[in-house]
This record gives sequence, structure tokens and C-alpha cells, in this order.
Amino acid sequence: MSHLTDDLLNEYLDDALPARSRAEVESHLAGCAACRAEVAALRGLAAALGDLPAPALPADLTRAVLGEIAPAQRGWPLRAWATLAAQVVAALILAAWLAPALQGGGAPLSAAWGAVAAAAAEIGSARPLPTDLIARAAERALDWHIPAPIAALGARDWLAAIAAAAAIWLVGSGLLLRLPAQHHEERLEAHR
Amino acid sequence: MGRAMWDAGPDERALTERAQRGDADAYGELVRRYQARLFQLGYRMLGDPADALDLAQDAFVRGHAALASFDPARPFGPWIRRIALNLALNWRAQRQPASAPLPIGHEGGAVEPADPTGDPEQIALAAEQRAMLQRAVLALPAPFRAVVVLRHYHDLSYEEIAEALDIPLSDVKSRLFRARRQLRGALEGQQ
Repeated sequence: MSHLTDDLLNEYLDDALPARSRAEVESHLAGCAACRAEVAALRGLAAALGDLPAPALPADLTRAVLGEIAPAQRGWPLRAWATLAAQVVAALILAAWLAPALQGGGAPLSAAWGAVAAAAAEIGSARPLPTDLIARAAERALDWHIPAPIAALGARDWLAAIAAAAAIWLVGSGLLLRLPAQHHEERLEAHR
Repeated sequence: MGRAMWDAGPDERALTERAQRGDADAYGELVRRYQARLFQLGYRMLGDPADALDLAQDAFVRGHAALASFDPARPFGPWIRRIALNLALNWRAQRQPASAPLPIGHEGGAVEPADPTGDPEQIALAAEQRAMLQRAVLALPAPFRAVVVLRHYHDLSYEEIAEALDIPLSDVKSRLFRARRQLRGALEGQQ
């Protein structure tokens, strides 16, 4: 008597056989210890799989999911806007400092303080929007004489200007670029 | 986890229809109902609780994006499970879980099945055997593992598995039987 095939045994255990085949398998099993042992081994495997533990859900996902799908809550967090604003202000101060020198004037530092003081006074009185400030800076930029005597700036001024611009760019961009990663970490944190 | 757990509750159709109209609370309720099941599916597929949680969350976010294509006359469970399965099958291929540490009953609130003998040696042996089996399950290629998970933990029939994975019935059988041979080999090799 040949033994039952692997397929038949599996389908028998998975209750996937039509009634007639099932009866045939059962009558074979009644007289075949080897096939009964096979069935027992498959049952043992199923039981062992069922015994494998699984951790319980460690965190409620509802808020995280709703947070991710809500279009209104998307976009940059407040921190990103604050960083961008700081970057814009720092750039404006740098521009105010450089402007007189680019226009051929001397003593860029004192002129810069004057510009900052004027801007501060303006902010205090009119509370302009950041967009106004940018527009005003752009207006001023248009007034600049681009081929101004760059030599009017001393080497130290140049170094300071380049260092300041690099610092604004590197620090600001670095902070902005780190934001998505922090977002992800916060999401992971929320899981714990 | 039996099949009954994936069946739709009586008010589910109303919920899914509200969710389709953009009601976030309704979708939140669906997340609450199915999150534990998707997490378990993810854990069985990926072997890591943190990955399983990420997978469940991603599945719900994708499910929400695809909600317009969902037929509310059908149950939500199998639909969202299919999304989770597809994610699990494509889960960062470079981080296959075969070599990942396996938390067997020692973290994440896992429950050790009680051993009636109470013999420490027997308990240790049983724990070792479970660890071995879990490693063997995770060492299966993901398409094989998916069939094993759906058959043994979701109690799906061959036909239901074929539909859930969008593969022919013959593939369901060949994958399942081959996977079982491999798992038996791992279990018997240990004894």
C-alpha cells in the first residue's frame, strides 16, 4: 500500500478535501501508522505555531494616524517658521550692514546699527508683517548699485561678512533639514 | 486569531461610509477597531514590534488615501489587511528579519504559555523550541511566510488566501506545504 502524498495530508488537515477524498484518507490512516505519524507531526507543527507568543499592541495608533492624514495639520511646525524668521532677520541685519559699503560708503558697522535701530523703531510702531520686511529689503536691494566699489570693504569686513552669511546659511538650513528627521523620531517616540 | 475577528461589526458599513465622506472620527474608530489585528499581522510577518507598529500605521494611512476605491458593502477588515500584507511583503528588503533579535515572551507584554509541569528544564526547553520555531518562520521567504500567517493565525481557507495575496490556488498550496516542510525540519532538527 503506497502512502498518502504530502499534498493530501496537508489538505486533509486544512479541511480542504471533498467528502469522498476525506473518507479515503481516513480509511488509509486507520491502517497506516506511518501516515498517522505524519499527520501527528503536522498537527504538532500547527500547535507549536499557535503557541508562539505575540506582544500586545504597545500604543494606540489612532492619534498618530489621524495626525498624519489631517491635511490641516500638515506642513511645517512652528519651530520651522521660527527658524526661517530668524534666518530672514539675520540676513536683513547682514544686508543692512553691507549696504552702505556696497554703495561706496564707509563705516559699515555703524551704518548697520543705524539700519537695525531704524528697523526696530519701525517694527515697534507699525508691527509690519515679515512679508513687509522682505518687500522692504527687496526694495532696498533694487536701489543698490551692484558694481559698487567693492574695494571699499576691508579684508576683515569681507571675512566677517562671508562668515556671517555662511553661519546664517549653515545654521538655518541645518535646523530646517533636521526637522523631518525629528518628526520621524517624535513619531517613534509616540509609539513607545 | 480567528476569522471572526476580521468580520465586520454591525455598524461598520455606516462607519466606512462616513469615513469616505471625510469624517476623521469615523476613520479613527476604524483604526481603533483594527489596529491590534494589523499590529499582530505585522509582528507575525516582520518579527519586530516597532516595525509591526510602523507597518500598521502606514497601512491605515495608505488605506485612508485609497478609501475612495473601497466598496463599503464589503467588510473593511480584509481590505485593510490586504494593504498591510502588501506593505509587509515589500518591507525594506535590506532589513529582512531573519537576523533580527526575536523577543520571545520577554518584552512587549508577550505572554508565555503556562507550562503545567512547572519543571524549569522543561520550561527552558519549550522556550528554546519556540525561539527556534519563530526564527524558522522569520527565515521563510516573505511570500511563504504570508501564506503560513494567513492560514495559521488568521484561519483563512486556501481560496481566501489566494484572494488576499492575489495568487493562484496552486501557489497557495505549494507555498504552504513547502513552508511547513521547512518548519518541521527546523523543529525536528532541534529535538
